[in-house]
Amino acid sequence: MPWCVNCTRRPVASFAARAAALVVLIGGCADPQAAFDDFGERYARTHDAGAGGSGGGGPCALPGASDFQGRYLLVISPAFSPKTPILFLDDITATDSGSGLDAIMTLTALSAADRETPVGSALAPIDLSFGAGTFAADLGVLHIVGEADPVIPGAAIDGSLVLHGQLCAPDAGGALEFSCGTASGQVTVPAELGLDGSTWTLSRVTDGDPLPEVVIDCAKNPPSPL
Amino acid sequence: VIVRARSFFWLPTAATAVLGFASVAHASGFATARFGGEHGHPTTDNPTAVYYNPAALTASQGTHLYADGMFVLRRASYTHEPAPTDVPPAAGAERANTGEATLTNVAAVPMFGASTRLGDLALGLGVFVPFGGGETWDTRSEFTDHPSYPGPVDGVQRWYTISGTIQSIYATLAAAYPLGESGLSLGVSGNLIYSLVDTTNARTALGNDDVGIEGRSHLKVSGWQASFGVGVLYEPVKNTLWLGASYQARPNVAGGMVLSGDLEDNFTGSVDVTSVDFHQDLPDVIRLGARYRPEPRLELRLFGDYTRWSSLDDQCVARRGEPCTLNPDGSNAPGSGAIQSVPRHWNDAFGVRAGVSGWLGSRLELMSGLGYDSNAIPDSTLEPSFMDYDDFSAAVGARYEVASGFFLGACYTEFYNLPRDNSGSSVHPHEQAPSNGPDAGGRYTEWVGLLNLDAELVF
Repeated sequence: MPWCVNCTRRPVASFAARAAALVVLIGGCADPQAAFDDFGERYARTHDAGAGGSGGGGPCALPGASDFQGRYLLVISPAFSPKTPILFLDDITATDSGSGLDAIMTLTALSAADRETPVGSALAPIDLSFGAGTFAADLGVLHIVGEADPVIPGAAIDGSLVLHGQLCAPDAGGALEFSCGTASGQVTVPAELGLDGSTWTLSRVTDGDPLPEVVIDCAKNPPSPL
Repeated sequence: VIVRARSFFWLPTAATAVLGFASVAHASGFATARFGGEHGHPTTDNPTAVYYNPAALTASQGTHLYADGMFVLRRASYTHEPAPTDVPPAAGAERANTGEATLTNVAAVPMFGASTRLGDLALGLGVFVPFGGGETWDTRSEFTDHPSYPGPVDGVQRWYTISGTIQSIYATLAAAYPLGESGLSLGVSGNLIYSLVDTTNARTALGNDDVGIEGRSHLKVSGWQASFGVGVLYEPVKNTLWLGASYQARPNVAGGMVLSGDLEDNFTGSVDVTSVDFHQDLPDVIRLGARYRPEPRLELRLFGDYTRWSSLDDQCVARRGEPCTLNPDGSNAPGSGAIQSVPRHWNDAFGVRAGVSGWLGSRLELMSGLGYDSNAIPDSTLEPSFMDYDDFSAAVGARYEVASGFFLGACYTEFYNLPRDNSGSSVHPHEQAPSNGPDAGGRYTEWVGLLNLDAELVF
């Protein structure tokens, strides 16, 4: 048979082998894998690979614990869909350590529908340490309720997340109002999606005021409107 | 069809046509049951009966070995103009999502069959592809090596397909038995089915057509199913008139096809792989046919099919082992693990065909046919990966007994698809994630030429 390209003694595998050959014929020279791989090569040529950085840039002073702790709006802008960020209320308690800060971060996801209503329970507190210079804060694996998912509304998200940046006290002193940087990690649910090249921002929430404006990166670009 | 007549001059003028051809690239849905050409129908006496009507195996005598090759040339186009839901074009890529996409593809689909008689009992087997198609679209030279956007070179249609194939390959055993001298025969068949989907398309995580965040998804899944066929053949006037009816059940009978494999995504320059299940349902098919031979050198055929494509409501990709349960708006129902879904909402379709054969001498048969196939895909869900049309077809062919009991045949069929324009009707951008996609409205055209080459050995 001209379309028999393989032979095996196992009947099922034999049929599968013949079927595979048939696939080539019926497919009319379709080569989906090549089409997929070609895109990857073109993407690499047109994009800066591994663009990173931090919210700081250059030497800066670490804020004191009292200037750091408080409530923030944490915005995670995933590289695969940067204009549709995932938002959290981020309650931070901090203490001065010998050469830096020890902090406990408690995240509560916000609704993707209005970007202001807390949804689900607060995530388990995350212990972090910050020193002078850049940091990589590993938030571990986050389990985020579906209401916070801006990509597939209702679909829960599991994923690991690492924030990269630099914590800098404001030049004028006082409480930290804004920080930003890049993020990496891996979404595993609802689908496997890499987070390298993502960005984050942290904007202080003032008691009694509305949530601060949502910005997705250090350039303070806005997200897509709701 | 084995006829040895002394002499007859016949110009094939009458016609018939086929049941719903679905081109190897997609016609009545993506049914491709055209093996056998003009002799593939519910009253045939060759081994294609294992699919078209297992009861018709009793119309054959002796042992038959049969091979058929369908060679298809397909040309198609899709032209999309800006739609209100399209993402505003990016600077430097203003025509990335508008204009014409084209394809010219060649495909070959083999079919093998055999039948024999054990007394009154007729047995048959076959390997064939009743559902399938594949395509690779042309690239757009204006976007070759674009400095900023790596996606648009794959064409305007890329949000639904760049290159892909879908098919169900059947291995079938069939048996038929005549009920005494009543002229009635009953047949039954069992199918083991290997199904595969392998396709790459452009995609953003949001399901829109934003070239700034354009990535690629590559789905490759496969799986096994089973089904059955039953049929009846009635020969009220011996060697003159045959009436046939058959039913081919859906893969897995009650439906629920689940193919397993991987979904590869590249949205940010790196490849992520998710283990997934692909959920779909293929149709069951009802066939009716009549074959009339008023004299030994003339045969008239009329047959058709009713293919219940309404079974294909959507094609859904979910995390491995999780259900794909969608709300009416396309969103995930509670507990659903859907990642991507494409709404289909197809309609039942039918085809009808009339054909005629005449014999020149004892060895040469000339044949022709005319046919019509209805369209299974509504305007709302028509998109470039599955095109379907109301189509008309015309066929001419010949079959020659080159040696005693050894026949070679060729039949060419051309399909005239009525162009479609579903601008403004596309439901895709209005679905909720994960069922949403870019507007697929536009003008669709397609031309298909099909050459059947077959060989049959009878002893």
